[in-house]
Amino acid sequence: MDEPLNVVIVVGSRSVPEQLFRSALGEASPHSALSRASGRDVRVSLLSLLPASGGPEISAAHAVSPSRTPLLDRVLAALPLTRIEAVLSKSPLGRLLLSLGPTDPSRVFWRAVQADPAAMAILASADVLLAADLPAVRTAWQTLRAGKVAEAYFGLQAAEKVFAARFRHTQPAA
Amino acid sequence: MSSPKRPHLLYVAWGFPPSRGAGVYRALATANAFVEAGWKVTVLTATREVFEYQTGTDIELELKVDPRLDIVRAPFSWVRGEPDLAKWSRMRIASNLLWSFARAKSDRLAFPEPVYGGWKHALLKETDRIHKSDPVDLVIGTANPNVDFVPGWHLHKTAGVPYVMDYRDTWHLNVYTDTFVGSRFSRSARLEKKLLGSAAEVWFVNAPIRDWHAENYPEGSERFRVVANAFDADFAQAFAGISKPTRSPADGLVFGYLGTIYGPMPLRESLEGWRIARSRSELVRNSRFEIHGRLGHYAEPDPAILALLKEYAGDGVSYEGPVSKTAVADKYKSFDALMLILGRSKYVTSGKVFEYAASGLPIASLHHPETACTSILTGHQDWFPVPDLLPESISETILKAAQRAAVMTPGDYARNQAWADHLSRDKQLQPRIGHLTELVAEANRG
Repeated sequence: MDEPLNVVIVVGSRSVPEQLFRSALGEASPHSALSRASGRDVRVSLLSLLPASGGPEISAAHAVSPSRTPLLDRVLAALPLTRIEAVLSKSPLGRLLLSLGPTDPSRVFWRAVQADPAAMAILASADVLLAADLPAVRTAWQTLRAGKVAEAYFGLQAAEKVFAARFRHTQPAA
Repeated sequence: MSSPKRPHLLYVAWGFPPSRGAGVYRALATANAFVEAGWKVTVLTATREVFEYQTGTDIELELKVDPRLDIVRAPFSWVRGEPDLAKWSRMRIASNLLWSFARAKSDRLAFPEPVYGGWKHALLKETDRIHKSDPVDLVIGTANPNVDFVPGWHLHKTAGVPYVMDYRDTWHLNVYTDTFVGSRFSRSARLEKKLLGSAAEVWFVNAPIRDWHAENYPEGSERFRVVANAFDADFAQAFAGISKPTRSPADGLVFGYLGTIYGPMPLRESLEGWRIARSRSELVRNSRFEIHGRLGHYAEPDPAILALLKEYAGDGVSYEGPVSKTAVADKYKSFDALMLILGRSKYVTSGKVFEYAASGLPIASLHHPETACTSILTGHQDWFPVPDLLPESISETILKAAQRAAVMTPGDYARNQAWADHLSRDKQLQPRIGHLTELVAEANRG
């Protein structure tokens, strides 16, 4: 019999994970949606920026809590960045600059995760990582690139289709 | 003595089974028809995962692919949402915004078409490989996307291979506003002109669209043909001998809509008309209106359309989701009458018009009279068009269709089906296949 597929959902934004799940999957929980799509037992864990229960079918939920705030974030916290970000976010070029800078949410989240050994352990325990939002993508991608996880995907809606196609049956050769 | 070489058709269709997009049926029918006519057919399409992850699939439809077809899949990367992070580059991770901008620019540089333009490179690579291993005699590209026309143009330039442009949609004609999309001097408009001028044939889905192109691109317009979307012969056979669905009087009737709902369709007006009709007729009050198909062009239902349908759930309106092509005929047979809801356009016929006609069921046409399918359905004896799109007028039309649907006999259905025979796919495709077979044979002789 197949071992349960260990899926870790990563939420890198300040969205409430339960709301993200409802918006992407409707009334179905991530566990039931992914189990149904893949046709096999799935164990779902959650790694998020904000504390969340994730729901009754989440086997473990962990909110990122760095053992100590990374140096760069301490420096950034001392700067008047809010006003600069507000100005930059009003123009396409400004938004582009912000996406490349250290305050980009995906970079902030990844730094926090790296400073949290428990978060890193959860990521490494996964068979599949699911980045539920764009700020989570860098973390999932870096974990994948480091060879700590075999597969990583972006988007909960797409994940249902990926699970149906990737884990339910062997695809005919393309 | 060896038998003569079968002519080799390269058929280019971004969407092909298992894709469940609206244009897939025409592509599937055309490729199957050519192989049935004795051609060797290679289909050049996108990779399966594009459909599995993005548009959604219809696995049962894939069973209708003739096993004699060679399917070649050219990798296609979709900007909108590649879910596999293994395929995300370092640059995309550095800034998804910058990557998306650069990708859009690069796509348009390859071919002037958003989203799909970047597929050109993969298409040409496969085209050259296919032609090298077994020389191609004819290329048909079916669009949109318009990048599907590129392999035909490419082999025509490099090897003198004739090509056919099959317009399921239009490139520079906005069918809803009757205007030219973009500038007539744009790169894409100049390209379209060039491609149309050298094509062996150009197929359009109806005469108004063909005539617009002939007027705007006169060069080569004598080779412009109408190949209507039509219906498949086996689809029509499924309706032979049908009779009215058995229901108790208390159950009323079932009205059906089957197709994709998108764009500027008079959906709210139709639903409002339905509500009014229910308030005026016990028969309609006891009836249901089932909507089957996709809401929007993507796998996920368009939330705005879904919300609109929910507003009318208390009026017997229900959204039943997509139907596999193989289950479509049975679904039609469960209806008493059909609702044809389309956006206003003198150019829009839509594939479902032909299926509706093939069924022999009464049709309430809830679209502006100017819409192109009016000319298709004129002559159908149980067709009820609206004079305008006011909910009041729509309700009157629904009431008429309901009264007629309640008394339909097997003979009435059979008469309507016989009338629709001229709209079958065979009647549309066979003359073209015959002509192109002759064209290729002549080129090979000469």
